[in-house]
Amino acid sequence: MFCGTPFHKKVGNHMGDYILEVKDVSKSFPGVKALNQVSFRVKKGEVHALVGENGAGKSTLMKILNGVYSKDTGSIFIDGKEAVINNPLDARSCGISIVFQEFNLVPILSIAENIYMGRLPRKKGMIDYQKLKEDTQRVLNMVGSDLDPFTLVETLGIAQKQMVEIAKMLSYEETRLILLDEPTATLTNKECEVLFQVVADLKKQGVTVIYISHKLEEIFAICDSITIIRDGEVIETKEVSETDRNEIITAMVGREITEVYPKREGDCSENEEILRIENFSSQGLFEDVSFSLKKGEVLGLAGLVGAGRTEIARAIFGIDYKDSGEIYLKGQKIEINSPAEAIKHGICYLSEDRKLEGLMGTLPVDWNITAANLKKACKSGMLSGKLEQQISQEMVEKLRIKTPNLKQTVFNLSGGNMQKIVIGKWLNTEIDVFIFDEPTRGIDVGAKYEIYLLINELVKEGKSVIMISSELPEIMGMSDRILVIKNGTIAGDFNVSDMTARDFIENAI
Amino acid sequence: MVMKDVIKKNKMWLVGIVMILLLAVTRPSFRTSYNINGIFLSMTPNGVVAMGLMISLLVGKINIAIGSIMSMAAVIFALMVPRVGVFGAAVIAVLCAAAVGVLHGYLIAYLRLNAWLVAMALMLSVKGVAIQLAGSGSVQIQDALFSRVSEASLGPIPASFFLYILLVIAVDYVLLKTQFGRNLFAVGGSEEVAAACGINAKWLTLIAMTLSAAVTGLGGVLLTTRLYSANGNMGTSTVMTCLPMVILGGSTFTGGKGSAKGTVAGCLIIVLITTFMNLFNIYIHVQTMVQGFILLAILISDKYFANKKIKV
Amino acid sequence: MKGKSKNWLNMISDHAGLVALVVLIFVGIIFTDSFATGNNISNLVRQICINGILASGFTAVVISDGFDFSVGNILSACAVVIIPMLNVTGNIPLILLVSIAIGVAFGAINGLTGKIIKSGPGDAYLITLATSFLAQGFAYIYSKGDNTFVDDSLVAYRNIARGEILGIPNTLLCMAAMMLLTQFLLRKTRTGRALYMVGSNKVATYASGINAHNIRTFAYVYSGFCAAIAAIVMTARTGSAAPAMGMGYEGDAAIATFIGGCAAGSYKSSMVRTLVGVVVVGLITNIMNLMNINSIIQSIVKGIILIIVLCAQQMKKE
Repeated sequence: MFCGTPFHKKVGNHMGDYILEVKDVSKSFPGVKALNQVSFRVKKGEVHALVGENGAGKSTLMKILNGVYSKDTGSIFIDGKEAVINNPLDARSCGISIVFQEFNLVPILSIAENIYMGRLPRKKGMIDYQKLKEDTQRVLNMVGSDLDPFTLVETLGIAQKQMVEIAKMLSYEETRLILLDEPTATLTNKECEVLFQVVADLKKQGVTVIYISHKLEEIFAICDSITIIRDGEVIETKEVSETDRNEIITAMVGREITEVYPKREGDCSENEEILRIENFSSQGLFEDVSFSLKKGEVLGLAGLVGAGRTEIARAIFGIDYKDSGEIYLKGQKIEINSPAEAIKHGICYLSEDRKLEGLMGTLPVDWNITAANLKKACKSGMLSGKLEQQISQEMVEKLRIKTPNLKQTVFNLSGGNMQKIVIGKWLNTEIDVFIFDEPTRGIDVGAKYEIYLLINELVKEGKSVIMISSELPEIMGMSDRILVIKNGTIAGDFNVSDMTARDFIENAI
Repeated sequence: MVMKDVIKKNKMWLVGIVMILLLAVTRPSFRTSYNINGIFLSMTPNGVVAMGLMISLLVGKINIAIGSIMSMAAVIFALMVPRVGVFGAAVIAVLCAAAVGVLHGYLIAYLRLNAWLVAMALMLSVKGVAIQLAGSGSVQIQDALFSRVSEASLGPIPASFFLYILLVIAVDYVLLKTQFGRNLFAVGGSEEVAAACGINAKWLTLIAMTLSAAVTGLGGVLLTTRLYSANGNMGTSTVMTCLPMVILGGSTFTGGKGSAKGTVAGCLIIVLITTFMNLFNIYIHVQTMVQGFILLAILISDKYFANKKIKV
Repeated sequence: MKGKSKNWLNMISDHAGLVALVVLIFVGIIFTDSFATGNNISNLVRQICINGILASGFTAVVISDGFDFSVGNILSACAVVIIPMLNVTGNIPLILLVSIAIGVAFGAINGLTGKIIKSGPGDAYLITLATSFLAQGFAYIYSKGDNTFVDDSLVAYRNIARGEILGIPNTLLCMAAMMLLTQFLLRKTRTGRALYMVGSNKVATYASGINAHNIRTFAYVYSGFCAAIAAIVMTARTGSAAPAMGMGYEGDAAIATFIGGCAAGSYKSSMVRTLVGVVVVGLITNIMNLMNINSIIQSIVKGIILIIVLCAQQMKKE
């Protein structure tokens, strides 16, 4: 374990003026190479931006720096000395802290107790609440906050919680490097201004900041240098002053689309409308969203993570509440208040978290396949094991699901096969509109292609598909039309034939 | 503004005061020193056991075995008094209860067994131990010192009540003024976050369950000062009585919240409700049903709003 | 090497109930004199019937990821209402309906409370504990604390539990009927299938178009229904109704279900497993009785067994 000197104590010479050097770091997960020989350097005291599309590898890199994942190969140097980071506590003693989107706070306790958890100031054995108040106020001031230290965290807004997290990091004397992961994703303009001031203050105090964000205007406003990551590799590192928006977008996007997406025959642009959403709103998640879906169409919903696409889809399906909005099916107004009602109208939703919401993991393959349409597996009112097996066997063969037998419990299968089972469940039901949320996430290349073929077949049979995906090539390769969602509203509506990757990024960011 | 905060913070005490006034006005028998004495006598053992329950809820692990632990400690105390005297017996009883707590804490914190099922299993077996030790009957306590201590009182307030107050002060101090106490809140609020801050969550849970059981054991000993005897069935309805006290006192089922002083307020209110039912001659088994209703009401009010936003 | 031994362990824990059964039979034969006698076996059979009926409902609840503390007291509540009514009207079908109505009502309290609060894991214990007290209070209030006895003239009613058909005791037939009904429910009906689904993953079940909360409510209502039937068999057997009649029976039902190998959302759970568990619990009680171990120690032993079973289940999860 490597421990550095506190940031506010300036010690004479350092080896070089790079606080962080990542050298040839690689990381693979089963079937996927997340990071490939990633190397870059961060200067002491600078604000360093890290950009890349969803899935480019930023998150994996951050988790390695924070000790949540371990790297396969490569080295990390803090202040010129090699650091071994096996867990978050190691990372902290090396001076690295990270603010994720999901906060590491205990809502039921006060700000002060969250910041100084486990190390409250004491006087003669008793907790010194006065000193606690003063210490907390001191770090809160460092982030420009004048909140009462004893306010309960559960009463704070997201922006304020973020400030508390940053303050918490600053309360550790060893902190020298703070990683901010999409800090402005859920902030209002005014709150963003506050954050920028905080980052400027941190810089003044000699703390280095790595700033992960898609928002190029912000990066140009507050960052000193920028590293672009694409497909798990570092494309380049540049000084912000020496580059411009165009160059960065080119670096983020520019590559051959090497993946092949199965071709689809037919033109659906003349087909009638099958589904229309009007004025969908849910406070804080999406606002006034309206669009329509044609029969036999694949409509892609593109956007950055957190833009609100999943929330819109779930509201359509009735699995989450919405504040207002109307749904029209084949021109008729319908009410959907629960998944059961949506299914009755022929609409289904395949969740991005298929283990959590799509499958019953402890149950066997055939029970999962018949789960949404038990009636079909009944003979004279009673469930028939034979009929069920027949239905499931057909589905397993049709979708080429790899399983030793029909009674295999589902959580033992691979991601791709799990997804196929979920698809099989819906194919076994009378569904006209399929809403796929990240259909190929975590699935290996071979299975991905099979799922693309399945989607094409659905369309051929006259079904309609809404596809949410954060992989730009995928959504461009599979959709007929794409809606770009940004901050809970529709920012762009393109026919795929008229659209380029550049169009997407420009609208989504 | 300040007034509103004061009321909000102490709302249980206000409810208690209002109830006392109502009863004092509508029932003359409430104002007798016999009745007032009865209230203190009732609050003491229940309040102590409620304190034990509060400690376990603090780390988010409800301890429904408290009734059985209480009975077992009472029986052990009663058996030991003739052998090692009052104080020795009390120490042994509390230690035995603590031992159960250690086992309980180990099973749920280190072996990660289902907290509910473990508590249920303990509830059954410890009760069995208590009944067995008592020889399937009651154990009488006949000891001069014990009688003196049980009778001792300052006006209508029995001596054991002062012991209860001491306990409240001690627990309150630990919870508010020591790192250990605050760490308990952290563990109850979120085990992962606490562990990420270097707090040994498993160890703290074990300690909390041990303390919870030990305090419950003390409650059992104090209960014997009322009855001069102990048997294995004493604790059957303890959970139903003490759980509402603790929830009214500000604890939650999920952990991270609790207050010694609040639990006293909750204890007062529940005892007043029982007194109310007694003074209005409400049949005891109706009281049992009322306890069931109160628990359901507390569950609904606690969880209905918390879960309003989700659909399933 | 390690893989192989883990396989053995898995196999044993999978069939823990059967293993326990075999072990207990051996223990019974070796350590007691009268275990293998016809008299003892018929005693055993009579004793397990009530538990078998209660365990049927309990299994449905466990499969849907719940717990029911209240079955014992619901039994008492049903019993104290139907016996006086029986003595007055002599109408057996009527009291059957009344018993079921009461059992279902208490079960509904359990289920609907869970529905209102959108219950998560662990809430079931508190809810059913509260209902257990409601039922107990009700039983005492209705009966005024007294025992009631079945009129001597009502021989037909007593025969529900006393007689034999083709050499099989009626109580056993009652248990078999309830178990068969429950097995049919679990494996052959859509509602029964939904119980497994809800127990496995209530969110995914909801997302597949099934009202998860209604299914769980049904499980508790069914458990209440089983308690009502058990009340009839028990009062027929003893010829009396006491307000504390069923108290404590929930423990045996729980142990039987868990020892048999049933678990939330587990596809292999079924009445076959519960039957094994019921026999195991019956054997434990029977052997301890033969060894003259008093009932208090028996409950301690049962408590310890429950902990061991839980440990084994937990280790299997990991």
